[in-house]
Amino acid sequence: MKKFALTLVALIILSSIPFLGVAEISGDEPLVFETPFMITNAGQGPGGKMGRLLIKQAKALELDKDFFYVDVPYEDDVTEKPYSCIVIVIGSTDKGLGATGITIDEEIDRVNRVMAAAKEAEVPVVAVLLEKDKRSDIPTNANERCIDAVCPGSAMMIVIKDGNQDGRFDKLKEEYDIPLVLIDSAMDFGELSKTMFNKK
Amino acid sequence: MSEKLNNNITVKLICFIIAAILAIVAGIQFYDHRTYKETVVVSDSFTEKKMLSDYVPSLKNTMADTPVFFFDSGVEGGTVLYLGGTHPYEPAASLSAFVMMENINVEKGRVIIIPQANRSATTLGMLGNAYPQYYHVDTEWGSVKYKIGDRWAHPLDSWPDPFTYRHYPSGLQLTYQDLRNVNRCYPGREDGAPIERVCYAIMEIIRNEKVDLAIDSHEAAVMYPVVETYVAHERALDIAMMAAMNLSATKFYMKCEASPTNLRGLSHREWGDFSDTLAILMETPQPFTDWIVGPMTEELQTIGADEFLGTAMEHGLTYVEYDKNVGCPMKLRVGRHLSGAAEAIDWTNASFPEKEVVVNWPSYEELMEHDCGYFLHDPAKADTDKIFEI
Repeated sequence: MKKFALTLVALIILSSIPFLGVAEISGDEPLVFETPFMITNAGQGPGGKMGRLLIKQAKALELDKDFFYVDVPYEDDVTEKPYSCIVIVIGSTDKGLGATGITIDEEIDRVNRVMAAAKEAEVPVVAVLLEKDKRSDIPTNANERCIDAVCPGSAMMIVIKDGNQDGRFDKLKEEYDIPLVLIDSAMDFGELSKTMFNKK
Repeated sequence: MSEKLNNNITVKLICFIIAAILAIVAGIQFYDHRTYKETVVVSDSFTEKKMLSDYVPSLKNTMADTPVFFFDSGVEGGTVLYLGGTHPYEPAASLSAFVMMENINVEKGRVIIIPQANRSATTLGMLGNAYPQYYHVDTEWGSVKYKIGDRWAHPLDSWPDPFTYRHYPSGLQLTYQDLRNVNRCYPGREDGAPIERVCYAIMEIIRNEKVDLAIDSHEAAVMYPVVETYVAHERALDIAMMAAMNLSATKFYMKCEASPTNLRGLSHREWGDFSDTLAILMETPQPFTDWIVGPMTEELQTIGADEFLGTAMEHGLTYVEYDKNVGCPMKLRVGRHLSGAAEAIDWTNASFPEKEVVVNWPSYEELMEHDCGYFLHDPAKADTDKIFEI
């Protein structure tokens, strides 16, 4: 009996080994793009810079060669370089929008124009969410408005798991048939970028 | 007629006596708060104490003068400045500085700590907000009393206020009492109002001591958007972003905001603009500063459990996960600051190896396990040269 119990425990431990290093990336298979690509943000938060930093930290892609960071792009910037895609990191600033005199309406208008230009130029958009938002259940929340502006027209969504606790992105995936890639933490985005741009 | 006059005089006399008694009782309390000193037992890494007046002599013998503690390893490396007490009604900031000072071990580089940046503001409570003057931290050797101060310096130390405060040098107009707010007066001026001089002195420390990383610790209301946040000058943004993301993945949620370029007078803006330092501000959640809370008791300050905020949380109106039965206890807030600062130092080390500072102090996990009092030392058993009253 004791031997059986030990064998059972050993089997359980062995069978769990593949899951020990639980994948930080789950959900749909990430789409793969060529380089160069643009990375930017919607909402004027630091998300775009976070994405840039994480990609740099992963040390597989070179800034200003494989990818370009554009702080506040407008329509013309979409076709300024032969971008394979535009990575838009969603995140409204809690500090800066009011402070810089820009309203969220003006910011959403800018994002809409960029999305329209990308669609016209057939440049796919990858929507990324790296920070959870405590107020995600308030539709007028600036972050939520950015999600609504970017995600429905995107080719793929990459979302931190905590940001999808309410199933918001599952619904978008279902409604618009968009692949949804989930990452455990923002730190996983750098590693994911290697897969996305074939630099493994 | 005479009897009526006598009655009037008697009533007036009674009113006067009652008013005098109230004034005396209040006066004793005001005097106590004004003169009470907090005690700290510094760690073995302590090397030197200076005063702000060493950098701006006109602050000498004023209530705005405040100690500056140096912890120097003697090994060449970077220099970190940690500020507590910029807003003394956010006491986890200065308590985190005290816990740091009592337990710090510096192996490389040096750390400079100013636990009461706005010392004058520690000597009164916020006018119009009836809240306790003190809070207590329990230790194995007794209870330690700390002050709950104000956001602004004491009007007695900086009087009169202007009709409108015009920030120097930007000329930006701010609310009048912000001339007494340390986090609105940077970069300050040597011959300005008392708090402008304090800010200038802190800038002089940053410049003269060649501070590589400067951290300003604060607390914020849970209904205020910029909470659980680093706010970083653009040169420090990468460090703060990495620190925020790593903390969020490993310890507690932390976000990051870029310092707006047109908000003037704040540490995260002016420290970076008027020196070479990497400037970061940190905010922890503090229910005590929320406007909708119930009775402003000592428990609200130290534990922060409040049913009104719980209701606000249910309606999605808070910016942090808030459990009305748990609140935001002091150990959590102090722990967040200690690990938040350590994380920022780690990422500075990774980004600028030549500015490396190797240092340790209690972590968030240790604070959550043992609480704040565990890390405070008994002055009765300490060497006298390690005890400071501030």
